Amino acid sequence: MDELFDYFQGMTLPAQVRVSMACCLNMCGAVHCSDIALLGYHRKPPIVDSEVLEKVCEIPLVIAACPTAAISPSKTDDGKKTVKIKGERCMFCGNCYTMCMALPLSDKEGDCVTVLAGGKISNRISPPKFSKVVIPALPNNFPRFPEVCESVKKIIEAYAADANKYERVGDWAERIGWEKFFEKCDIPFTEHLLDDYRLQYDTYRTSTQFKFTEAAWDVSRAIGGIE
Amino acid sequence: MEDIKKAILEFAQASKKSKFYYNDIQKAVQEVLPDAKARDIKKAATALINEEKLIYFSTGSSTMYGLKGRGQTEDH
Amino acid sequence: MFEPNEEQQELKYQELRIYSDEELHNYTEEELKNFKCKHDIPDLDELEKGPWPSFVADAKREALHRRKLAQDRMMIERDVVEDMLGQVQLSFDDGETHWKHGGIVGVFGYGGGVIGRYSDLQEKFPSIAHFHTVRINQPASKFYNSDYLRTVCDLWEYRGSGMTNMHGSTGDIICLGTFTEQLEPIFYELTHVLQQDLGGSGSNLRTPECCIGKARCEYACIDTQALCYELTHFYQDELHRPAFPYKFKFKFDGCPNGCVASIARSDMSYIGTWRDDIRIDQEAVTAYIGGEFAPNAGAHAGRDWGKFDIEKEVIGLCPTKCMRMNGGKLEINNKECTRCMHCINTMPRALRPGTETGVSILFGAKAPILDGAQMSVLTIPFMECEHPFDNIKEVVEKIWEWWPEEGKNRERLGELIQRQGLAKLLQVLEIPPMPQMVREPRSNPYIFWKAEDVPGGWERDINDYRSRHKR
Ligand code: HEM
Ligand code: HEM
Ligand code: SF4
Ligand code: SF4
Ligand code: SF4
Repeated sequence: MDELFDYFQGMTLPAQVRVSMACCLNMCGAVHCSDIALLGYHRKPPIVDSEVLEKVCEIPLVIAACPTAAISPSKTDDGKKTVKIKGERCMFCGNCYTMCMALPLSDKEGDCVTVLAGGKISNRISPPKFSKVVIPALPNNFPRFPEVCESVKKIIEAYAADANKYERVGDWAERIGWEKFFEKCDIPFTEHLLDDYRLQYDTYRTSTQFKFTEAAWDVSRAIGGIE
Repeated sequence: MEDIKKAILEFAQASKKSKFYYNDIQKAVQEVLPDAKARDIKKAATALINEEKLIYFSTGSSTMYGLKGRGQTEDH
Repeated sequence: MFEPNEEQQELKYQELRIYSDEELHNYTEEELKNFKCKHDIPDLDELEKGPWPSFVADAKREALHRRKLAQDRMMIERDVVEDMLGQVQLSFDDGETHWKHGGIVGVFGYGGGVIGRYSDLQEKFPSIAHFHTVRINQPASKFYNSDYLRTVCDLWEYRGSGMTNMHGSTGDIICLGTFTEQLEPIFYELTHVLQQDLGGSGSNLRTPECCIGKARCEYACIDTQALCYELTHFYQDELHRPAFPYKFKFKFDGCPNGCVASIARSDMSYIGTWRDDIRIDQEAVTAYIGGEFAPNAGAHAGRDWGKFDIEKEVIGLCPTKCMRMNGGKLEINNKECTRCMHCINTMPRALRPGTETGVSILFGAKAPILDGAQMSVLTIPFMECEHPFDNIKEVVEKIWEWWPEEGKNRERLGELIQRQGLAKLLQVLEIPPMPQMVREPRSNPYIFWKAEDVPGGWERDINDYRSRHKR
């Protein structure tokens, strides 16, 4: 908020820009429908505290809690009941930790800030929409999160310069095309931005309508389509 | 009412778990007492809480019921 | 005219106060400048430097205030704020939180309202060994008088950390940080003396929340406060004695602008709307065109966007293209209007929602936990919405006969709708389907036909079939 202070005072933006923040996936404040959303996210699977797990948790509940079925029952060498976690199936949702305190996830390097953009709640002109992930992970650099601030400023400045009056961030991105959004905001489009969750296909473009940006030429070059 | 309360306690004592979702309580009671209405089962569970035989266990986001004095029930 | 559901006493701070004026104003700005937290907190000090008011500055004021109060004037340790700051600094250093997993705390007879919190460094930070959060049910639209607020603050200084959060995204007043043994006295004081109630947490109805509605906003199509107040009282048992598979939220927006975000945040979203025509004041339209009134209530004042152009800014942006200027008059083809609010927001002195107002009801929004975020699905297009809202309560009861029965543990209404299908929800509500419920019709023909849908049912005889077709 310090970095964006002038925008709070100025009324210079094309429309309101709601920046919201949630420290975890529970997303306490409608973060998933904000113009810009900052979301705290884990990137390392839980550590299993087998010493106490059996005593403090109901193992069947823990296994049932995992949406990707990454958790299965197991035994320690000294015969204690515990669980094991298939790391490659974990989507880091933390639901197992909600059910069982013996599965902590937090980690200095693993935890990160995910940036989403283009959501709205109001029905004005266009229907409400979800925010979309535009930067998969930025470091948790306390206390001022310089990388996060810089990225948010980049997005807001590109938006302020280019959007029409009354146009929200998401409406702007849809008008110019998300490929232009990444170009104008100078944000790399990385592998992690391709949806790999269930229903992923809904987000894929099945059309020849697109705009050429540097990211498109990179693909053409990589496949040998152009020099 | 009393028979519902008894069925709840029997279910809770017989179970290996120390905490239960309300849904599971309701299902267990309706197995023994098929005519028991959902609303009455809830009232009975509330009465048992008030008699300090059951306790609430809350994670902050969801709530379960537990048998007083068993499992993870103290401050830690 | 508002009538409370139960008799309300007038709260008088002068009678209820705990602290004297001297105790409340017990430090000087000079002392504040020289204040040093007992733990080293360089990164938090840094946060005070920006132009935005910082929670660190507020916390330091509170810490100093507690340092100067007599210990017997506080029921928990005076250092609670300083230890909280110290632990936050340490969490910054470690990049990991030092709050333990929650535990079981609560007040007698309530299944929620208190969220248990413990430090995992109790030796280092003994005053925040317990740091429970208490949620207090806010009044509709969060109107208070200062007698009430001061009384709550005194109570929280005396029995808690003195730190509050006005308000949490749940809507409640959030009182941050107290010890287990204080919970019952706090609860008694809040309910018996202040006539307040705890908010929701856990698998129950959560504190209902509404936009500012008719109290301040000319767009309000329904009395969101009355509806919120009535349903909060009517369903108090559902708020406090959990018997649901998971949480359930009501939120009430007065119009499609959606200021409490009900469409994204509530299992049952109520959004005010109208079914007659947008009211037009042609003189005011002319005044907007002539530049006498600033469009969008002046919200674009910070930049020169050029002269207001009604064709481009209103008529051209209307998503249904149902407006036009005809001989200097604005015309709206209301049959085509989808009530998006754009024209009204842009020219509020000229355009107003119609007068036949009611509520649209949508179901099923939730945050990403677990299967991804969902927004609410438009299900009931229009419903009259007048006190005592019996028609609306009937809808609620239908949902609550279905979801608690069929929902799995920790399954939100929106997930149950996904699992059993929207058609099932319509059966539950006893309403027919309508095209407004979908963005577009399905593109796959994999319909789960049932035997009773098909003439003659599914029972067939293979011999009869073979009498016509050889093997
Ligand atoms: C006089 C009272 C108010 C009026 C007239 C008002 C008006 C509006 C309007 C016109 C919009 C839609 C704007 C657009 O999409 O361009 C809106 C959206 C919103 N308002 Fe308000 N508002 C009021 C009070 C509040 C209050 C008190 C809050 C909360 C503290 C609030 C929170 C919001 C939110 C969260 C949105 C949705 C933003 C989004 O689409 O992401 N409003 N409001
Ligand atoms: C000791 C610190 C805290 C703990 C342990 C804590 C814990 C929680 C938990 C467990 C929930 C989920 C409850 C649910 O499912 O509804 C929650 C929700 C929430 N918390 Fe916190 N919280 C803490 C501090 C805060 C602070 C400082 C704020 C705001 C500045 C805050 C704002 C919220 C909000 C807005 C929700 C929203 C819930 C909703 O809309 O359902 N919390 N918190
Ligand atoms: S964090 Fe989520 S996905 Fe990973 S193991 Fe736990 S419940 Fe499963
Ligand atoms: S939702 Fe509509 S009625 Fe309610 S405060 Fe917002 S603009 Fe006003
Ligand atoms: S409310 Fe929206 S759809 Fe209706 S006339 Fe105005 S701009 Fe057009």
